[in-house]
Amino acid sequence: MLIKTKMLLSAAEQEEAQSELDLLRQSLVERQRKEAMEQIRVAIGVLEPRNEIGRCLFTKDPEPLRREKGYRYRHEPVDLLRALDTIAERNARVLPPPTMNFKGIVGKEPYPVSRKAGEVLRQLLLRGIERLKNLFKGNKSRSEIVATFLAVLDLCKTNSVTLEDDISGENPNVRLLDQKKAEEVT
Amino acid sequence: MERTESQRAIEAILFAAGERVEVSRLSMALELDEVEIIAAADALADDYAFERRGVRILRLDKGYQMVSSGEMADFVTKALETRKPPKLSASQLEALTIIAYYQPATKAMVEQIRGVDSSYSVSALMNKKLIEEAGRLNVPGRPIQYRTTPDFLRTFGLGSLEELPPIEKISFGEPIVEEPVAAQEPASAQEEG
Repeated sequence: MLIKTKMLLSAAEQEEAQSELDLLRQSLVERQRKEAMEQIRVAIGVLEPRNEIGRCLFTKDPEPLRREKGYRYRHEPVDLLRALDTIAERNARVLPPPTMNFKGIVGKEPYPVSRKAGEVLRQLLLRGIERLKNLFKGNKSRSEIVATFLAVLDLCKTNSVTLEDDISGENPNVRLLDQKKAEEVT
Repeated sequence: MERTESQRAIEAILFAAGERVEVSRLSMALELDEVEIIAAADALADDYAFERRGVRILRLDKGYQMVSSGEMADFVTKALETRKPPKLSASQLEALTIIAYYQPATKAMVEQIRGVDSSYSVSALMNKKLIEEAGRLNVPGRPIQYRTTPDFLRTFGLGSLEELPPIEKISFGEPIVEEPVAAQEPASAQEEG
């Protein structure tokens, strides 16, 4: 019908027909709305008196839930030990790791050779001469032993001390050569 | 009329709950069938009405609620120094009635039938808990749909929506596809994706 109408009518007539169609639709919608609203008003007429009665009905709030007093769970004595272990483990995690863990990565600072040379000189100033192996007595670490050995070599090189072989040749004497120089150094 | 143990239990539960309690919940608590619960609760409600007790039990859709008797309203308001809830205005009544008959209904539908803006009326009804949100309509804009609550049934003395006075509902245009409620939205969104 629409296609036929458009074919038969001119442009102006088509526009007029379209606007009339729109008006028709609007009036139809408006009539539907009025009919629906009329029905709603009928329902309101029945519901409104019932609302007057409904407004007189009071309700109460739910009763608050009362929590049971006291502890409701059950435990074994071993649970306390487990809890203590967990606490100790957690505390251990918080603390920094012990230095033993880094022993392979971070080495100890080597014993300074210069300090050991001073100690050797002080020892020789007291006695003048000392057995080589006695100089190593009291050394607490491998680094200190190495430092003692290097210190004796350095002192020999600087002509501060000299080594004198004993009969066996296993434990030579270390003799102080320049006492004044040794006193200046120490 | 001698009360059975189940009736006494229903009485205690409804009193403590204050709000509406569904039949399924009563059935779970009392370990009885829903049919038995309904029979016991209806008998109790009739008992209260027959004896004109100060409290009544109302059946609201698939649940029950204990309320004070309407006849004693004046004494209640005097004792508690409170007032009855205010009347609904004409515009709120119209909006509520439209939603009750055309639910789930959008605000646009309410405005289409009334012919005026209904934003304030709809929000007022939401605040009074006479209507609640019921998902969104699957159209551009995804407007919120509204439906009535059990408080609406209590306020208007209705046991269910079937007890609404019959009217001739007008169809406005082509039916619009309704979207499922919010809980199912992600599944439908994934399907459309």
